[in-house]
Parts: sequence; structure tokens; C-alpha cells
Amino acid sequence: MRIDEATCAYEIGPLVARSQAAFRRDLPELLKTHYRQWVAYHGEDRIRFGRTQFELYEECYRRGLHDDEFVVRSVEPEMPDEIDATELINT
Amino acid sequence: MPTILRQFPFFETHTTALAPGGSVTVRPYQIVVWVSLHPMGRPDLPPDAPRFPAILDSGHSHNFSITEEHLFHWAGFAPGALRTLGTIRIAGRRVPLVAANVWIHGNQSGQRDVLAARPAFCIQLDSGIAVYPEGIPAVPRLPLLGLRGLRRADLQLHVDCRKCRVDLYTASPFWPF
Repeated sequence: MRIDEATCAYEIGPLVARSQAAFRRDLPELLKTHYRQWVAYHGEDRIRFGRTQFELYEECYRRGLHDDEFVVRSVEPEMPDEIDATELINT
Repeated sequence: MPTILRQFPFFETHTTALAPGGSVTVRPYQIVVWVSLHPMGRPDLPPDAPRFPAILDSGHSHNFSITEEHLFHWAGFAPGALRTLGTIRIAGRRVPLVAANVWIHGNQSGQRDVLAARPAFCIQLDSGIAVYPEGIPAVPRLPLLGLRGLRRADLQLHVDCRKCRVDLYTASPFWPF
């Protein structure tokens, strides 16, 4: 998947996209049960929860996964999809 | 509590800060901290990692925003060198989120531009940082560090507006990495 012509260097890997989708699917429930913990996804599979991002990256590498095959996310409300351009004015 | 920024000053007048490649203007009341970027999942920041100024901006709703030009020339990462985790939209355009953490360098007490010898503190970011490619109609003049990342790291920020000083410290007695 490509973002657009201006950002063609930034391709989202298919497994990363699937992992993100799985996280978003589960997020409403996770917010009730694992708020502010870190969690790793490999495609549809939830690998495990952890206390730090580093801990879960290490676990993913230990399982032989490559960077483009998983995501590590924090269980918290997601960032808004759109940023207000006025936030950037006069910085 | 371990302190990251100690009596860190901000100023009522324009100042300059030395960024890689030249000096930049810091506007009055802007709190400019010194940061490095490093790929997510890497717990050790190389000692020679480039350091550059970023505005600590409580009005910025995202983790960290930087132009592609600054990512390359200041942080040392070419476009595509950091894996893409997703996108956000600004002014109808897609902006990539890439997998990097922000490391904040401590200061010598009372000094903005003199860094301490203690290790930098890593903000383990959820969702990565926003990189603004060329052609995006609104871009940050300087990189922006928002409160979202500080919240994720459970940091405590104290702004003393009487003395124009900032302290930033961790909530826990040790750094968890």
C-alpha cells in the first residue's frame, strides 16, 4: 500500500497493516482490561502484553520476527486521525 | 526522582540555538529541548546520535512532528529508513508515521544549550512520529514534541513562569529500560 505520490518512500508493509488492524479491532476491549500496557501483534495474532515497548520488541525478535512483521502498541486511546494545521502555525 | 531537565530556562526574547547545519531562531517563550531519534525497539542510543532542538509544545496533540528535511539533515535518517506504521491526515494530505522513539537529553542545571553527561531519556512512543514530506501545506518550523509522549512515559513537567524555568522528571525512581 502506498500513501501517495509525495510520500512514496513510506510504504506500509502488509503485515504491519494487518497487525495495526487487529490492534484496532481489539482496542475497545483492551482499554477495559489492559489499559496503558504494551502489546505486540503479528498479523492477526496477539503475541503478548508487556511493561515496556523494548521488552516486546525483544520478544518479537526472539521469535524470529522481522521489523516489518509486527507492531508494538500501547493500550490507550489512539491519536486522532487528523491533525489540526493550526497547531503547526507560528511554531 | 530522576530529573531529565533541571532548571531548564526559556526566554522572553528571541534567542538562537545551534542546530546541525546552522543556528535557528527560538521565539519568545518557546521551550526548546534537545532530542535525538532512534528506531523503536533499540534500547541503546549511540553516543554519536545527532542531537537537535525541538519545541516542547503542550498544544501539539501528537507525539512528535518533524519535517522530512529535518529528519534527514538533523536526525540522520533518510526517507524510508524508518519503517512506516501508519498515516495521519493534515489539510487533506497523508503524513506518514514512522517507527522512532524520541530521546531527551538532560541539561546542566540552569543551562538550555549545555547538555549534561547523564544518559538521555527514551520516550517510548506509541504510533511513532509524524514526518512531513515536501509539499505538505502546513509543516512545523522546528520539530514539535507534544504532551502525548510525555504522558505515555509518565513524566512530570513543572513550569515555573516566575523564573522562566522548566523541570522534567520521571515518576519512578529509576528509568524502566
